[in-house]
Amino acid sequence: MDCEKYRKLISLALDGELSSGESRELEEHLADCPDCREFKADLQEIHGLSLQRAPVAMPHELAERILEETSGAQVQPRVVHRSNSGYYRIPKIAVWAAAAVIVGLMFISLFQPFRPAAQVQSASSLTARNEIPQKVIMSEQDIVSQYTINNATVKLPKGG
Amino acid sequence: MSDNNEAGNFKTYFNRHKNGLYEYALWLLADNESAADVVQEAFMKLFEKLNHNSEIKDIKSWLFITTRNLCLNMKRNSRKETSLDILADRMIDSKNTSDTRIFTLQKAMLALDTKFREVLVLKEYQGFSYAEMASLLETTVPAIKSSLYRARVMLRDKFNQLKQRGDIYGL
Repeated sequence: MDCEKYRKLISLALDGELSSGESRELEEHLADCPDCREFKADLQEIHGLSLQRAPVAMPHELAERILEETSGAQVQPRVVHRSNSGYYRIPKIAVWAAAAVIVGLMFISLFQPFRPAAQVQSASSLTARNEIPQKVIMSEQDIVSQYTINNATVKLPKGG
Repeated sequence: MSDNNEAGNFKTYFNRHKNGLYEYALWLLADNESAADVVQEAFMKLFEKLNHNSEIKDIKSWLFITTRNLCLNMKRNSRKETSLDILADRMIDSKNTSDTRIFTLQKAMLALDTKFREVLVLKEYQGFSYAEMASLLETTVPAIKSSLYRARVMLRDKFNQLKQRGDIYGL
């Protein structure tokens, strides 16, 4: 027996789409096929439960919102803002944090004196080894004695 | 005569179709918030059309087609996989479901692939004819009959499986 053919007819019968000829043919089959009778009973139960379900109503707040937005004379196109929908959405807080960091870095860079790259590198390497040269500027009046040692001039300040 | 000449009143169409449209979007998206967004956008589009005196032959079909397209776009953009239990919690109000078999049936519906769930919702819940469904889903009447049959077979299997397990409130 071609049960699938008759089960398709049962589905059509549920929607009231069966011709009288098909209906008679189906009844003849059902009289001899307990499995298809069970199939029909199950589909009827499901159909009945679908009709008994609690009606779904649009939430009151949503209905009010739509009516409120459409109460004006002019249409205001609505932009849908949804958070956390989809992998590719970035949280707003992350965007603001990134923007704050960038602005902060730009602000700090405004107060950094300009130095050529080579000089900066040299100074930082000396700093790392505690060899920062101490540049002492003395006026002529401050110098009381001056020596030359190994072709280098050493000037001693007052009280030095 | 075009449908929007009947009353020319957005509120009339809104009150007539708001619940059906919301339920349709809810079953397609299985998420209250997304359904609300989509339905609101569909009604805003209708309002805009009516405001500009655009011709709409059949308001109901236009609303369902628009809602369906918005739902498909939303599903395409959201690749989140939500578990069936979470979906059921979002979708089914157990307090209002007195018969546990209805609750089980709705869980079985959620377990179906969206395309099969959709034909069942349109036929069983919204009372669309085969021809209306074929027009909405851009297919033929024989294809609709076939889809409905397959959807009913799958729903029956899932429903019986849940009933046999006696696992009414969980899957």
